[in-house]
Amino acid sequence: MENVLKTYPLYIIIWLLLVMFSFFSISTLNSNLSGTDPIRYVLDLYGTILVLLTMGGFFFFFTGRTVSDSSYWAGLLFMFGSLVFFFSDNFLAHGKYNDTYKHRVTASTNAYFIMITYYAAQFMIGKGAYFVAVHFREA
Amino acid sequence: MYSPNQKPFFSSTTYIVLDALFVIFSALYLMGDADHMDNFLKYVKAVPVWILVVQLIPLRDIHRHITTIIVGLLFGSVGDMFLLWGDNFICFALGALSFLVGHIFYVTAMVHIAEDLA
Repeated sequence: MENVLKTYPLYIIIWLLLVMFSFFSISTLNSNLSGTDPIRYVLDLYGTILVLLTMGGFFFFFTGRTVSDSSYWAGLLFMFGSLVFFFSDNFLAHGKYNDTYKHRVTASTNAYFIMITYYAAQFMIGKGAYFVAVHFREA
Repeated sequence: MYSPNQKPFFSSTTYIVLDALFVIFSALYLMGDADHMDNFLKYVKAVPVWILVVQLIPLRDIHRHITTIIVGLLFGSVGDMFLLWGDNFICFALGALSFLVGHIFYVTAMVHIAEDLA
């Protein structure tokens, strides 16, 4: 991890952008909820894990992209898979708890946003695992 | 894109068929009324994820964290089912919890595999 942080300042910039967006996203959602609503805690915890997942994907890409062709593809798929998951879960949360978002995007359209990004994310993470297997089989 | 027909990998044709099934079942779910999913198509929601699991199960012995990713995928499909069952707080919270646990498995797998690559 230290080497990645030293070698790729871009990694830190991406991390900061994701954290900033997550703070914005979660605070927007919380402003739509009452102070005692237990879903606040679920959203806070979920947002934190979601940032970790996305950074895990970027970390994998920056670590493994030069090791082999297969690890490059695995990294690319994990990175985009986790990033797309980040957006999918944001669509889900805002579609459910953000009144402004609900006025702008219909529930039906949002359901498509959620599911298309969700399936794409799962596919990319699954295929990333496949390329991990190809790499370690060849190694 | 696909490796030669070597065990434990499936043949290239099998992967293409499974990927086509993934796309078909995803499209079938999306073709249902996304706003009011009260038709039979809602029951195919988790099938695409199971197809990915089927592709990965034979590869689990190549690296131990492929199993971790399989478990993450399965938690994702459990989350799908909770969100499908009801539009109330309990189902949403249990669905979110399942996705959360799935994400933790993904992060664990990505970080450990990356360490093994480095």
